[in-house]
Amino acid sequence: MTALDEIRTILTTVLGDYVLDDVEITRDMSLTEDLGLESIDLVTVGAMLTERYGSQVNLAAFLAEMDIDDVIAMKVGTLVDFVADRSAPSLATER
Amino acid sequence: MAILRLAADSRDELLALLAKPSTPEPARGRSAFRLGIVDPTEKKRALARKVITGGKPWRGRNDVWFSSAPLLAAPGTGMAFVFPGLEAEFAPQITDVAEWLGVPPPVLADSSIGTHAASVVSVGRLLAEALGRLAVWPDALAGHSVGEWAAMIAGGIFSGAEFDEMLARTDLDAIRVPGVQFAVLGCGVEQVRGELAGRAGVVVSHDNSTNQTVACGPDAAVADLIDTLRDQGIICQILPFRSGFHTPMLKPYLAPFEAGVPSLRITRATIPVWSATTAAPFPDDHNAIRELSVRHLLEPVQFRTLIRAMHAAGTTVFVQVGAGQLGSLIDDTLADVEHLTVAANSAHRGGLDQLRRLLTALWVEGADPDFAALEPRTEPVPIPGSAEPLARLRALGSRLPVAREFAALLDDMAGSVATVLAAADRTESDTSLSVSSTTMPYLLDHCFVPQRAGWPEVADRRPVMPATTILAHLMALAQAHAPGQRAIGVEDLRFDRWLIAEPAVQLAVRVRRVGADRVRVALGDYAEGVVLLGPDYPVDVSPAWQPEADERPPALSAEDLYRQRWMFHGPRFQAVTASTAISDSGIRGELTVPTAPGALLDGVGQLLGQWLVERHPTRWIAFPTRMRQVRQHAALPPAGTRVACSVRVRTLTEDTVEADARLTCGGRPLVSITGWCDRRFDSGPRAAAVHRFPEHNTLSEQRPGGWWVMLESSPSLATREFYLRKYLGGAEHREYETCPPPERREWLLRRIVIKDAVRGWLWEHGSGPLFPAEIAVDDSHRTTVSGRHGLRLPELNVAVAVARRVAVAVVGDTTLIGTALHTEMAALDQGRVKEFRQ
Repeated sequence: MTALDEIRTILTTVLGDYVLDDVEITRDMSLTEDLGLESIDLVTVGAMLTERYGSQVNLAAFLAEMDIDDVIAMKVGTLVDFVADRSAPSLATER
Repeated sequence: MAILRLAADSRDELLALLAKPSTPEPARGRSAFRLGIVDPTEKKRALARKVITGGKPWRGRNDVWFSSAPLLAAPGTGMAFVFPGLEAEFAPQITDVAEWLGVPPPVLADSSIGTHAASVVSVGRLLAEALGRLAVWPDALAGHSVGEWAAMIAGGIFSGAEFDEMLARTDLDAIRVPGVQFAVLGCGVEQVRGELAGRAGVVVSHDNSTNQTVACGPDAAVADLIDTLRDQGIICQILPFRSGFHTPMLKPYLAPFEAGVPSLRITRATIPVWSATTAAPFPDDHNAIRELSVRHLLEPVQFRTLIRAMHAAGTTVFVQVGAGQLGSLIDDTLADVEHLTVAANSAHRGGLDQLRRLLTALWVEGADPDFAALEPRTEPVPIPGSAEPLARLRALGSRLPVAREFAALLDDMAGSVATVLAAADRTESDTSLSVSSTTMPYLLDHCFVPQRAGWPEVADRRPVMPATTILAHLMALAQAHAPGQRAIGVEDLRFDRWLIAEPAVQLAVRVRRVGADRVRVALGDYAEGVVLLGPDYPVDVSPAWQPEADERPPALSAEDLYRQRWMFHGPRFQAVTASTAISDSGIRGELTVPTAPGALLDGVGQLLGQWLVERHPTRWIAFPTRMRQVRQHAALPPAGTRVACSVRVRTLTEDTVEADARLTCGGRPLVSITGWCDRRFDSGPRAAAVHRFPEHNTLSEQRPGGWWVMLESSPSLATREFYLRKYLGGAEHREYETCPPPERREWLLRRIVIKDAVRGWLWEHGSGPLFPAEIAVDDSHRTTVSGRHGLRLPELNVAVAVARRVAVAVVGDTTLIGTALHTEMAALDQGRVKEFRQ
């Protein structure tokens, strides 16, 4: 499974069933505007990432480097790259 | 923008409707399976098919809403408006909403904490007004942080106009607050508290939701806390504004804020307003409200607890009255229970488009909003002399000093011209209205307290102007202000205080134009509302009401209502001439137009009163506090005309009842009323007996030992004032009001038990009916009593004693009084006395 697939699974869980059935999630989709994620949803996403990859994938630390406007405008691709960078090397080549 | 709305009685029927290429507007009905799609595309229809087949409710993702058990259809459930406070992103889309409402868009700024807060509140108020126009009305109100002020305005605790005046006196940019930081932490309050233990300087300022807490403190301490939490994988953000609101750190800066909201004239809420400081409704008493509005500034926002408490009390639908993310906090907190949150505004789309989404979501959950009101009615009027050249000139001014000066000069002139034109347009006026039983003798047929025949003091009878007569006056005042136009309805009508007509009062009347076809009229601080004006009465297009299936004949006839004093109305206000049918959810009857102004619509309240008497007899006494919308469809017919009236109850709680009503004359619509709200009062057997026949009944109880006892089971202030009016003559009422407020409760208990003990003694000694006002009491040193206006009393020894909620009185052997009090207190402490239910 690629990092994009993993993120897709996580977003499907957060957003609820059906919504993403016919939607091809692409790297340049915005988490808030295109997918409708709210900032509190990021807490759930962060928790699921840690559960899946362990504490080296710390979304909180990653978001700390951004200002609020960047968090609001964050794209799926940014999240995928972050996960690929911090998790097992095997995934990095598959993104 | 198209909206698809489908309603059906089963899942299969709904799927079949969805499969059709086009479908008619759904009728107003009770079908449980509801689907709403905003801007329906093939993709959204496909999603809807899956959702319906799956059967679980779907609340808004991809602009699709579905419910098979509408939340608002369940008994005891309601809708709350929740007003956001300050958030990192502040980008409401309200220009089109303001234009649609016909009001100037509020000036928005977040340059300083003061202007940011004022802007947030004004957006909330604008949207609340828009929601009212769309027939979306809350059962409860709350706010997050500064949003609580918008909730207080919407609930009638203080007036929006006075809030604006207060802001105008304040230099918002100059407000000083502590320079401390807020950090939003992605975890629950317990985890944060655990981390804060042993740290100095940082405190919890907001318990926002299950997974979000805000902490506040000096930069270094906050940074240190964030470092620790981030290591644990907790998402943390610093908010882009500083202040120490909702923490003790604000205390040294408090004085200017105490001169703000807590200084305003405060009245009891007409719609329950919940406090995020206590996670409970605001108290009724204005001093207690004021105190809480100060605590709100210094104590943490308990938003999570508040939302849980509101949900437990029946709120299942939360409307976020503003843009932003407050709704996601509610969803987080209520993740495990059925509920809807929906925003009235969004940063991401036009204001009217978001309102269409809101209406769709509410309709799917069983509400009945006015979709048609959003559609364009008239062509926009072009403004002569467009402001565009001036804007270009201002832009030039940033580079060319001469242009800047010229632009300033033009601005100045435009300002003067606007002032002169506004005056000429008569946008406001102030007059006065004299109210008394002399100028309005018909009010003598609307007296709250019966007295002995021929009783000389009119004030003791408490003639009170009925809400519907106030309504008639507001419409007449508005019409006088707008020659050539007709008053065709009223919206958002509030009755804040009882308008007692004796002694006479002179009321200031304020008329303010608030839109092309509406004026706001305030009658002193008693009542206010927005009167709608138009060239002619609007046609009623809504379908006629069918009789309810469970209708049966009422127990009381129209004649019984007045003869048995269920209603206190005299001939000029006796509107009900037949009670036709009653059901679990409403009542029908015939009204005959009486002679007094406003008396016809008072008949609606009387029929609603009969419904309460027969259906909910422990709390049947009720008086209007608010009417959301009254529409007149034809001129009122002359006195003596028969009018059919149907009343439908929308919601019933312990304290309130809200109903809709339709009046028709000869089969044609005459008046429709939406959201007639009454406040209900305790009316157990004893209280009801005193209300109807005070000359034969007592609030106190007689004990075999030879004394009388009055126990107050902590009723609301409103209930206390109710009895006060029943028992006290006009002069006594003034005496009560000179009492310091903390002593009033005890004063009243003493007065009631004395009057009852004396009346009881006289009845035992052969007296006929006696009204409480016939007994005068001098309770200043030794308690003495005397008769008023012709009642002769023998020399009576009276003793009275009060402790906590118990008052006892003895007539005759006053040595009993110690034993009496001792016995009653002991009985109360041991729970032997049943709580005295009034």
